[in-house]
Amino acid sequence: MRIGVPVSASRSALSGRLPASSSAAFVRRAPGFSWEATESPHVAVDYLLLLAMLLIAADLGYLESQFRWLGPNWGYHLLAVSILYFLAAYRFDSRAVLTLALTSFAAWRGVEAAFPFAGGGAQASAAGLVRANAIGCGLLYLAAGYFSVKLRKKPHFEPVYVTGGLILLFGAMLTGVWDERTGAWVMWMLAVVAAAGMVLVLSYRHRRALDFGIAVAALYLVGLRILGETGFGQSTFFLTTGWSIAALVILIRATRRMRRPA
Amino acid sequence: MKRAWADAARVEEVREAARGWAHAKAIDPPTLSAIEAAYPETRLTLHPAWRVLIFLLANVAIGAFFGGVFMAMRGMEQFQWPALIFAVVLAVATEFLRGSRLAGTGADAATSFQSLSFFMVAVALFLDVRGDAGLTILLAFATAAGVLAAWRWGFWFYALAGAVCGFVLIGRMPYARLTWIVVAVLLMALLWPRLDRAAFAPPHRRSLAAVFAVSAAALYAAVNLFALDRLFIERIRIPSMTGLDIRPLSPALRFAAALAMAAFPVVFLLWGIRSRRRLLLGIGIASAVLSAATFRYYFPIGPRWLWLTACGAVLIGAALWANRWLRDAAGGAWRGLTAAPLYTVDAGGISPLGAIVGAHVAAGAPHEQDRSGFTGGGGSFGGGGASGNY
Repeated sequence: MRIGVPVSASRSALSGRLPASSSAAFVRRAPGFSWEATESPHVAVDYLLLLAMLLIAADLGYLESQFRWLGPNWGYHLLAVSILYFLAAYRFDSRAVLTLALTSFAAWRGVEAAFPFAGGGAQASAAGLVRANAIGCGLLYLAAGYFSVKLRKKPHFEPVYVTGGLILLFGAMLTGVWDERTGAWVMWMLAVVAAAGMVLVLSYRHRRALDFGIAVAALYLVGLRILGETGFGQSTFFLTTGWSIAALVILIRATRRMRRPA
Repeated sequence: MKRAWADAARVEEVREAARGWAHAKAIDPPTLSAIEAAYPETRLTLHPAWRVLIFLLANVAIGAFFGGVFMAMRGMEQFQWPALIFAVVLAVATEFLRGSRLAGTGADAATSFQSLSFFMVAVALFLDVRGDAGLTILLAFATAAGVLAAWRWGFWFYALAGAVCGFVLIGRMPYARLTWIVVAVLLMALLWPRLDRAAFAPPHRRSLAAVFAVSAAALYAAVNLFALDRLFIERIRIPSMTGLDIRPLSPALRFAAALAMAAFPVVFLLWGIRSRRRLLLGIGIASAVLSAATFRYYFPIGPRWLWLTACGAVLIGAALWANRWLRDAAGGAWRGLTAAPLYTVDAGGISPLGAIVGAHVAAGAPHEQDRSGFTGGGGSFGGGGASGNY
């Protein structure tokens, strides 16, 4: 115990000093705030910012685990980190840090939703609540992407918001499709088909290959779920082959068409 | 490899280089357009993420098809002939796809991969591999199949796999360590002058580079002190090492291994700087990390966290110092080395996906480009971790 205190204190001091010095060095070198994209002044700037942010989050996590200031509400730690990441992402114009902010925020919602059920039982309720939160986060990110372009506030952040939103949205709905416990998979399947159809049309029209690919992948997984209902006979295998080839053909043909000049 | 495939690969190289020059603003958009017009695209060029997606989908399609056939066969005992027939059918499909506009989309990689997999399954079933001799023959087949596939279809991964199988095969013979050293040195000496030879198609040059890297790794494994003490190479032949009279290694041999292990990264780093080759620099850095870890194992100086932190600090410091030194040098270059962006599109900072990965394993990734949709002859897209050019 007598040895542990100074060791942990020195580690804490070291890990506290590192983000502080990194942040200070970064602020000195970074260009001023702008709602438009800014250019990094040095090759190390992006890495230094990311390092500082990760170290700050690690320090906060360490302090929380040692002193338990937030007690059972430790999930707010993720919210605090997420807010910090958001502020840093906008101040220093970093899409990498914005991605961290989005994942931390979604993780906070997931922890908050699942924590009351951590003692066991009611697993289906916990999964449903986490799913609803993920869908909410996905829609929120999509809206953020839309308004960042509409209001011209960091419009180059829009792809990060939209891609993150689509992955969360489809991921959450697909867990409903593959969830054996609730029996509501048909409803989720219809929801995925409707959402994916919309994304396919919009992404094809706007030539957004990544979003198109995400929607195709979601539909593909829905198809596999339907095929899974037919059992695991020979016909299922051959139908899976046909379904995969259909997805391949759609992907390749759409890519070729989207590449043509408008 | 057919001449048409090689020509298509060369065109792809030129177009990619031109996009890199345009990205680094070494040429203007009209010049890029002129180059792209002079070297028209002969096949569909996709982003790596799409290629991976198509590769996976194609593998599921092929796997499910043969899964259905396999169910009809009812058991592995009768499977050798169907497996061989599947391998041939898929090899023919690969030939067709490599010659079509779909070459390089991931579909041809999937058919070739499954073809080789079925071939190896067929060989294993025909040979009835159970004993030591059967495994050795299987390794010989795997080596030959990997090399042939790389030569015919141009996938560097098969060259790498073939080379690995080849070294494992050598490991099953007497005097394996000495043979590893001799073969690795001979292969590197043979391949080095051919890595840039224009007569070879770009996919073949990449395959040669893969074999070169495997040879270097084999050489390092043969001289590493830890691998020597643990008899890693000898265990390929006799895994348990039971029933053998294992004498302690002589101090002179261990000292020689330690010296070679220390010299290896230095030689490769100097060689890489002198020849301006990333491959050699990569081998040098990787072997330096392994040598440092081996050194820490035998001389446990200080706590592990301090050792790791010090190593990281040295690497970061060296990178920043080199960057500043080159940037401040006259003309921004020293003997042809420069800190200016290289003429590749993938050079840059951190992508969003890289940030997430970095949060877990502290690793970076290529910089994400602006998502600007598709343009004729190669556009770019990005977001959520996927970025780059088509």
